[in-house]
Amino acid sequence: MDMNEKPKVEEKAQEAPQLPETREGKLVAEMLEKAPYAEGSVRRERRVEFKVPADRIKEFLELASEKFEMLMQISVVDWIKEGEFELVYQLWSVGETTHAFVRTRVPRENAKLPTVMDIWPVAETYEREAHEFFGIVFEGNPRLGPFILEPREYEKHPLRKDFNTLAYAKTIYGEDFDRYDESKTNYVI
Amino acid sequence: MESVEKPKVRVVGEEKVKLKKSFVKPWLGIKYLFKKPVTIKIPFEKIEPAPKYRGFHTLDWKKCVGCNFCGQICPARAIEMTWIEVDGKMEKRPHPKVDYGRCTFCQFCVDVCPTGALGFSENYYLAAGGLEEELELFNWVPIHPDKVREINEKFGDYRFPVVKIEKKADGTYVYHLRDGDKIEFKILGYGLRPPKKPTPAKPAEKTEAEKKEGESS
Ligand code: SF4
Ligand code: SF4
Repeated sequence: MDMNEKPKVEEKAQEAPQLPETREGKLVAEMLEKAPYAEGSVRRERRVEFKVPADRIKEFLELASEKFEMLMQISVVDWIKEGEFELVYQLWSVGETTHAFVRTRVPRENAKLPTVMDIWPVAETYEREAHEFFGIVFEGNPRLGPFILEPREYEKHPLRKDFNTLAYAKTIYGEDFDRYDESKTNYVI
Repeated sequence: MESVEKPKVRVVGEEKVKLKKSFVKPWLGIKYLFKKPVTIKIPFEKIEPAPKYRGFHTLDWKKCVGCNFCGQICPARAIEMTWIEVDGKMEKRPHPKVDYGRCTFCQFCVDVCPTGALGFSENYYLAAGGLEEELELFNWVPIHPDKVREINEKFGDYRFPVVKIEKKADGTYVYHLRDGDKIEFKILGYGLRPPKKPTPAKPAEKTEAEKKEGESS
């Protein structure tokens, strides 16, 4: 019985997840109709999620910008084991009051994406930040360059998982940067 | 697009929030010229902090079991476990030493302490000059809550209960409290592991301490 049951569960998971009969569900269904290459799901009320392959992200975001007027943030996650950066474009729809996560994955080495500056001009700033902290290149953004970090930190991409913050701080401030007897430079957790 | 129903929103009309410009209205602010100013004259008047104002820590050395939960949860990594020798006898467990240069006064360490040994007082006032020996004040093993309460009752000005931390060459620390008492102990080492014997003088003391412990237990 167990043997038979397990594949059933997997089959269910593999099936396209059912979109609920809500405002969000209809919204996602509508989007997916126009963009069949994407995967969409409804997280909860007023929160939807799309997964898009990296080579069609621009196309998808252009489509999405009809509904989602605001780009709120581009956040990046470094999945170092898989060797990929995950970019999450967070969109807000004023008309539908819905928050959308558009996820896409690019390889860690030589990460390149087209800029979305022409869709949302605010993307310029978010892309500069993602470029500075993770080293992702947004083709078409003219201002990728020194932004927040100090010159000596620039090009080091400090939010990547393989950047050792403590070791870097030690090279700058010396082995032991505590005023008192004990050293608090190692971490216990 | 039509299939998606719009959420209902209520919009306040612009005529309700838009103000007319006025030449006279700014002058109405003058009425405060003749009212009592809202201010506290600090050296002459006192302010009472809220009853559970998050201030300096207190530590019951008898209750602390040296589990380092406080050191693990500290977001600022301000806590270092310290091996202490009181009256020639090493404490069986390390105690936390709090560095107020790093501490953010979040009191997570107080919430996480399983035995309730670590607490906090409403004292918040600590100022020192720039000399190294004055700055020693900012890094202490918190003292017993009853002692802090006693000092608070005596002075009532919510200052740090220690006026001076004297550090001697052999690792002895003397806390000169505000009411003239002294707390004297020796710091043998830091970290979770019991300290190794760096000098030949210490092992003798320690074996003595261990013997005493063995006898007592
Ligand atoms: S109150 Fe200070 S010592 Fe305690 S956890 Fe917060 S930062 Fe760390
Ligand atoms: S103060 Fe509390 S949490 Fe910290 S080591 Fe002692 S018993 Fe553990």
